[in-house]
Amino acid sequence: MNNVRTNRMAGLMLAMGMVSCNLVAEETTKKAEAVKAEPSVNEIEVGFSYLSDDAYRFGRFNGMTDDGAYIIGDVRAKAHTENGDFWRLRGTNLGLDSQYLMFQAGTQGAHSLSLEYDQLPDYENDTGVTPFLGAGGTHLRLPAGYDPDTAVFDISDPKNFTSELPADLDRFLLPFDQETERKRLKLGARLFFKSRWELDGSFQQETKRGTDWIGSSMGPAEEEAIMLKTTGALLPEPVDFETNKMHAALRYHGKQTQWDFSYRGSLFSNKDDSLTWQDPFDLDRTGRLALEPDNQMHQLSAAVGHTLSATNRLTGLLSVSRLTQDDDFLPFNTSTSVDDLPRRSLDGEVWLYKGQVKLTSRPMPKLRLSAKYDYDERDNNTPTATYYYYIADGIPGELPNKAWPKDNDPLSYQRHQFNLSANYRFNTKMGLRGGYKYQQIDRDSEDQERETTREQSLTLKWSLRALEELEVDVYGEHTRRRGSTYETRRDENPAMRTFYLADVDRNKLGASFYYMPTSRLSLGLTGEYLDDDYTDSALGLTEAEQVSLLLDASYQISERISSHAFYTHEAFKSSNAGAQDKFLTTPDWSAELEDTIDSAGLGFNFNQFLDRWDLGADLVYTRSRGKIHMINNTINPSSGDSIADPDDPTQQFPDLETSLTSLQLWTRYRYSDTISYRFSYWYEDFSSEDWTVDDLEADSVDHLLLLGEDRLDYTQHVVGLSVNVRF
Amino acid sequence: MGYLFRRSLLLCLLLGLLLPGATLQADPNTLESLIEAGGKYVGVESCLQCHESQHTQIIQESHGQAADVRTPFAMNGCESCHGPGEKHVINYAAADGKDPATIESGLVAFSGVKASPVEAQNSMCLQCHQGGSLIPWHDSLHDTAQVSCSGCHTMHKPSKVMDRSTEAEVCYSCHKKTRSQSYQMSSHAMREGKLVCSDCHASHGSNGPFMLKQTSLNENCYECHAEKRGPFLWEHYPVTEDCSLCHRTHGSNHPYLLTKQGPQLCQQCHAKIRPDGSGHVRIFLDYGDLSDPKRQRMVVGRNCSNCHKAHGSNHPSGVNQLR
Repeated sequence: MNNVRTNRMAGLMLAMGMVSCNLVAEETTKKAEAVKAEPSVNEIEVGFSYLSDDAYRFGRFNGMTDDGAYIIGDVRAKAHTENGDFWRLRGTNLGLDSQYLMFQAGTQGAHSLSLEYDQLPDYENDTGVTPFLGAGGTHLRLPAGYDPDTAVFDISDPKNFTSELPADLDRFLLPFDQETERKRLKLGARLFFKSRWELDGSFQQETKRGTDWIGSSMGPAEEEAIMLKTTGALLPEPVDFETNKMHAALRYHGKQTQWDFSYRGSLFSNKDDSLTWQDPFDLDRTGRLALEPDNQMHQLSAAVGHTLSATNRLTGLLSVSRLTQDDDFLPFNTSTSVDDLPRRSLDGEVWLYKGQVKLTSRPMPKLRLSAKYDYDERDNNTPTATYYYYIADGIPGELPNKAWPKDNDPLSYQRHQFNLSANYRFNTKMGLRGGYKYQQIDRDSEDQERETTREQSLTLKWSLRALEELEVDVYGEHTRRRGSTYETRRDENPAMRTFYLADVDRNKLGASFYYMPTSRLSLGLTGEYLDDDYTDSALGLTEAEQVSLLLDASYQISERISSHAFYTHEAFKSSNAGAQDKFLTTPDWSAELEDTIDSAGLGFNFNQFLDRWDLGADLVYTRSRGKIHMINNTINPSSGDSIADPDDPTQQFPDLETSLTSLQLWTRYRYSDTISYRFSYWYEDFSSEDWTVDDLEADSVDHLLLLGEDRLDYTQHVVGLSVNVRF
Repeated sequence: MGYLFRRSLLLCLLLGLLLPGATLQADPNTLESLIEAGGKYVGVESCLQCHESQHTQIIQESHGQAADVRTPFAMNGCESCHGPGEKHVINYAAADGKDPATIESGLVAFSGVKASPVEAQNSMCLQCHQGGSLIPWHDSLHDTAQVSCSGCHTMHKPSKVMDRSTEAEVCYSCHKKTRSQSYQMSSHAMREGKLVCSDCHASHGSNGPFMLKQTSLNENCYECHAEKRGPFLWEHYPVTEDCSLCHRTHGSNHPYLLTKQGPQLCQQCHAKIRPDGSGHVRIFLDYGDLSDPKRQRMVVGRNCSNCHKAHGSNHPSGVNQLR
C-alpha cells in the first residue's frame, strides 16, 4: 500500500512541478503587465497529504486510515456564454475514498443536465476479531479444531457460569473490519418552458457494501430459565445494499400562484436475505436470522402556494405514499420448514397520507399571524396472522409444543396538529411572538399501550434591542401531554410507562444575548434549559433535563485579520427507574444518567500577511463524559431495611469519556494572481475510555462472543502541500 | 373529533376576522413603498459609472445572465433587485458623492451597515423566488427568525452556501451548537463535508418538522437508511414512529448517535419479566458486582443489541427482535 502511495506521490510531485513550471513562465509575463485582477471563480488544486500514523477512526469518513501519502485533488470551475449556455464542474477529495465529482451543463433558463458521483466511506473499526470463516458472506462456519467447552450451569446459582467457548479461542480468531462504503451516481435533468414552468427529474443509484456487525442469540437445550441460558454472539454481517431513487417534479412559478407536483420513488434491495451461523457454543446447532428485506416507497405529492393579497398567503400540501415489502419468509427456525408458516411472505403495505394547509397574514404592519393544520396518517394494511414463534434457534422440539403463538399487530396512526402563532413588533426595538400548538395522535394497534395522546404547547418569545449594540431574546415553552387510559404490554410491569406515550410536563426556558459594541467585535451568549417531568411514570424514564450554554465571539482585529472563539456546554440528565419483580410497582433500583459535553474553539485568519501570504489557524477541543449512578433500593421484605448500600462502588458503572483535540494550521503563498501554494499542518488527538468495550476480549463475558475490539485512540499529524491554479 | 372540530371552527373564525383588515394599513418598510420612493429606472449604464466591479462580478453568476428571461439582468438589470435608482442618482449628485443615502433613496441594500430591513430585502427576492422549495417559506423557522436571503446567499460572487464544501460554514455561523456537536464522539460525516445540512434540511421551509426536506422525520432518515423502512412483520413501534426517540441527529457521546447508553436506553421503556422469574431487569440486581464484566453480558459490548435487533424484524420468530 505504501509503495503505491509513494509512487503516486512521486508522480504527483512531477506533475505539480510541470504544471507549476509552465504556468510560472506564463505568469511572470502577466505579472510584469500588472493586469488588473478580475474576479476568477475557476480553480484547480492538486496536492498531497502525509499522515504520520495508522488511525482507522481518523479516516472513518474521509478514507485516510493508513499512514503515508495521499494525493488529493479539488476542482471548481464554471463558464457562461452570452446566450446563456453554461457548464459547472465541482470536485472535492478527488483521489480519496471520499471523493465527489459533479458536472452540470445546459442553457440557463432552458434546460440542463447534471451528473454526480459521490463516495462515502464508513470505516468504523479494524480491530475486531471473530472465529468465523466467511465473514462478509451469508454463511458463517467455524474452523476445524474449534471445540467449545461443555457448559456448566446450576439453576440454583445462576452466577456460577463457565464459558462454553473454547479455552484456546485465540487460536481461531481472525481479523474482521467493520467497514462499509457507499457509492452514489446521480443523473439529473431540468427543463424550463414558457418562462414559468419547470420539469425536474433525477435518477440516483446508490450501493452500500461492506461488513457490519449484528447481534444474535441461541436458545438453551433445557426448558428452565431460558433467559439465563441463552447465548449471544456478535456476528459479522454482510452489507450489500442497492437503493435506486427516482424523482420527477413539474413546477409552476407564477407571480401569484406556485405549484409543485412531484413523484418520488425509492427501491431498496438487499442482495442477502439471511445470515446463517454455526453456534460458537455448540457446533451441532445452527442459527439463521433475517436480514433487512427489500422494500419500496412511491410518493405522489402536490404543493401549492397562493398569494391572496399583498399581506396574505396560503400554502398547502397533499401527499400520498405507498410502502411495500414482500420478501419471502424464512422458516420459524432451522428445524422447521416454510410449510409451517401461516403465509410465505408478509405482503406488507402501508399508506402514508399527509395534508397541510397554512395561512400567513399581516393584518397590520406590526402584526404577523399564522395558522397551520397538519394531518398525517399511517394506514398499515399489512395482513395479520398467528405465528408460532421460537424465541431463538437451538430450542428443540416439534411445533407447536415449544413455540408461542403471537399475532402480528401492524401499527397505524392518525395525527392532527394545529399551530397558531402571532408576532407583534411594538417598535423597531421590541417584538413579541406567541404560539399555541395542539397535537393529537390516535394509534390503532392492540399492542400499543395508549390509543390516544394529546399534547398542547404554549410558546412565548420576547425580543428586545435594548441598546443599539445589544439584542436580547428571551423565550419559553410549556408543553403538556396527556392521553387515554394507559394499558401496559403483556409481560410488562404495570407501573412501566413508555416515555413517548406517557404523561409529561415539559418546560423550556432560554435566553440569548448578542452584543456588538463595535463593528469589529461581536459577542454572543445563549443559555437554554429544558425539563421533562413524566408525572405518572413510576418505572421507566421519570425525568429528563437538558442544559446548554453557548458563548461565541468574533473580532476583526484589522482589515486583514479576523478571529473567532467559542465555547459550548451541553448537559443531558435523566432518571430511570426499574423493578425486578413483575408485581412490584415501586422501583427497587434507579439510575441517574448524566452526559456532559464541553467544546471550545479558537481560530484566526490573516490575509495578505507580508503581502503574499495568507495564514489561518483553527483549534477545537471537545470533552465528553457519561456518568451513570446506580441506586439499589432493594428492601428486605421482612425487616424493611435496605439490602444494599446505594453508594457501593462495586455497584457502579465506570464513566464513559472521550476527548478530541484538533489543530489546523495553514498558510497560502500567492505566487501570482493565478497561482498559489498551500502548506498545512493538522494535528488531531482522540482518546476514549469506554468500559463497555475496553479490555474485553472475544471471550471475556460468559455466554457471549464479543468482537474483542480495541479502543480507537489516535494521535495524528498530517502535513499537506498543494498548488492552486486559478483560471 | 368534536374537540378537533370546535378548534377548527375557532381557527376559521379567527382568520375570518383578521383577513378583511389585511390591507388596511401600509407599512413604509414594504417593498412597494420602497420602490415607489426610488423614482424611475435609470438603467445599468448609470449604475456602471460607480459600480463597475460589482457588475463585473455578477455577470459571471446566475443572476447576471441576460439570456435567461427569468433573471434580473433580463429585466431592469441592477434595479431589478435594488429598486429604481433615480432618486439615488439625484441624491448622490446633490451630496457631491459623499452620501449615497441608499435607503433614503428608496434602494434596497442587501449588506453593509445601511442594509434595508430584512422584510424589504426578502420581499425583493420573493418576487421571483416563491415557487418550488420556496413555497413553504412564509412562517418557516428562518422567516420568523428574520433571516435575510442575503444572510446566506451572495449574488455577486459564488455563494458559499451553494457549495457542498463550504455550505456548513454558512449554517454554523448561526447554528453554533450544531457545529460543536459535529465534533462529538458519534456524529454524521458533517466534519468531513460528506453530509451537509441541505442533505436533510430545507432551509427555505418545509412541510415537515425541523425544516426537514421530507414530510416526516423518519422519511428523512430513510433517504439514506432505506433498509430501516420496512414495513416489517414485527415492528418496534417507537422506531416506526420516530427515529429521534432513540437517536440524536447531529452528535452524541454514545455510539450510533444514541441518546443514552444501553441498556438504560432500552430500560426507559422495558422492564420485562417472564413468568418464570427471568427477565432483563435482573441485569442490575441479580448479578451483583457491576464492576465485573463477566457478569454483564447484557451491559457490555453492544448491550441489548448483543442479542436484539432494534429496528424491526421480518423473521417469523422475530417477535422479540432477536433475529
